[in-house]
Amino acid sequence: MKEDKVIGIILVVFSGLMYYKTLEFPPAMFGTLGAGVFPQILFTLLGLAGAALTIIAFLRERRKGDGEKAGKERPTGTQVWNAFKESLHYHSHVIASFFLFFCYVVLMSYFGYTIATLIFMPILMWILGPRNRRAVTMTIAVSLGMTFVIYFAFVKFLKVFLPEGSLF
Amino acid sequence: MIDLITLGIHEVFQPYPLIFLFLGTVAGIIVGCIPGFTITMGAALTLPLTFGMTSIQGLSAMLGVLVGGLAGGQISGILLGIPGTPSSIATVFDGHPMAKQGEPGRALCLGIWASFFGGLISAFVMMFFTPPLANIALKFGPWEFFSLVTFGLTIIASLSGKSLLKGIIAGLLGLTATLFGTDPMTGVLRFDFGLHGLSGGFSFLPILIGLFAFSQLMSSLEKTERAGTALIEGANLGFSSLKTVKTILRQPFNLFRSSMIGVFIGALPGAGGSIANILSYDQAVKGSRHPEKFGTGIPDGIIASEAGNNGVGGGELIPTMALGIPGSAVSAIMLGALILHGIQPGPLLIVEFPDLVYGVFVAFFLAHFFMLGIQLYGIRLFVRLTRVPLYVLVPSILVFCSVGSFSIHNRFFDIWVLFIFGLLGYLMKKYEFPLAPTILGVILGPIAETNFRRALMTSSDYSLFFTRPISLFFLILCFLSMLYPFYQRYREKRRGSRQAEA
Repeated sequence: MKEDKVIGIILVVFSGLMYYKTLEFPPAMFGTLGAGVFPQILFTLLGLAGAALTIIAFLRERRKGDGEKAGKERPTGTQVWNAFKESLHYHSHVIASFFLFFCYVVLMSYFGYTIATLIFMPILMWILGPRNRRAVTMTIAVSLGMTFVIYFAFVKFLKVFLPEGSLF
Repeated sequence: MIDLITLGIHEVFQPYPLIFLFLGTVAGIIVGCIPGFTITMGAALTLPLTFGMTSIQGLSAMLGVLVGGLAGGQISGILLGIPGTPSSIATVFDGHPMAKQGEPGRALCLGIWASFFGGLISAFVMMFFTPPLANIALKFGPWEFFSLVTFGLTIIASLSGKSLLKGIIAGLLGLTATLFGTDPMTGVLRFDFGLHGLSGGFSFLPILIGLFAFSQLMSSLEKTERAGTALIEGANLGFSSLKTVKTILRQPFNLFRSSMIGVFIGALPGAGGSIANILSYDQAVKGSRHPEKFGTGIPDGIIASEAGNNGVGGGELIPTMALGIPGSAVSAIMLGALILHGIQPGPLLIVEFPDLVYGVFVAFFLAHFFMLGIQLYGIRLFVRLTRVPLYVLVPSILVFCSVGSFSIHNRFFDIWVLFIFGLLGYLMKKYEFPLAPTILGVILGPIAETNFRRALMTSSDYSLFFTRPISLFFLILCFLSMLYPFYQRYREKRRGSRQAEA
């Protein structure tokens, strides 16, 4: 895979930075191993594995590339743009869901569980769902139902805390 | 022995203990099947409700939660591909593919019966071998734990799928995720980057749900047109218990081995159910004549994982009952329940309260019959879940996951952990990194580090890892486990060439 090269490099850089960070840890006061030793071992291994991933992907591409190079041209700008647009369309729901979930968590930190959920659920369901009357009814019913069933089951019945907002 | 068991039967077979056992089992199954809600949480929430009960009533309710929860995790695991509890991670590997191929009913039925048999085997072991097994478990020092965990890590190889290198990277990522926060041994803050939330590290459960739930839900949302449809199309809801039982009993060795692994891992303090199911699955792959079929939706995988996971139940109770040392968070809460009722668990428990101890054994045994009945009756209901359209399912599960992640520690940061690992899980799945090794790393990382350093703190002599017999035993197993895939490949190749000749 083409992406493996990049992922490998990211892993190497990440491990390197984290390894550097472990050097700040204080040495062991008692016992043989300090707080930094185990992380150092792990990040060394992770860095090596990342390097291996890049190298293997690179070698594989070159081996394949020798055979194919003759017939293949570099993609033009429009082709790249079209492929990107297609991928964006393919992933549009995924991106929307991740973004909305991010907003949900932020909202929850300010307004608490109930308000955030009452905003998050209908919007995400409306984006994902089909545009017909049945779906809209379902969206409203499920959003309200879920929010309050969870609220009553947790707060009233089981006496478990739900996230409270910092503003209230 | 027989008279003690009759004593236990006499204790349990009364209206109230039976009712509470039943209700506990129902509650356990519900808690188990919602991703983000664990058995520990179910048990912790049940505990205050048992204050007003007699000790056997309270313990029955708690045992019901334990057994129901262990078995309930498979429901969402099989139907949605999201393990409901850490104990059903390996059930997803074959259960979800089978459900996707249009047989969710059969997959669930297999899981339920395998749980039932696994649990019964562990109940028998518990009744007859509690004292000797508790003694072995007591011999485990940090050296033994480290070797056991190292053995556990070799499983990454068989969980890796296509690329071993990617499996190793995934495992290492899981191990490194456990490094954040306060160092377990010296209390030094590691990689907190000045953020208050990070000082407590990443909790296990938000990582698990984030990785599995997000990757699963988000990939089902790819292709914009699909959101109006259900997760599994054209599912065959039917199932036949008779056929299922036959399938399971045709693999007595797999069933027995998996259950025993469950019992043994359960008896060890520490990871319990979350490792046992993966270990039994791994052993089933290695012992199988057709290892390449695992992961495609075969019964063997479901049986191994579920039998192993319910075997844990009996195992966990062994040190709790015999020594007063809980094998896991759930049994620690059970221990709390005992003490609340004025009973001091420990070696004298069996002598002083034989009626209660054998009552617990009988209730544990009986809980499996309740679990079987409730789940088999409920299958038709559960399977409807696969018909819920995605646009309803995804937001609902995301809300459940957030609430579940938050309520474990009442930490808002855990919801961010859920999000971060959700993103990571989705990207890993997208770029073909297996998720199971990461989870294994997260489970085993802290145990490995703590015990390794504790061992060296006790004595700086490295050779102790090789000279202590139990530790050596696991290191040898570890070595064999690493060699086995090569042997398996060699055997396949030879078989292939022989077939080519013929």
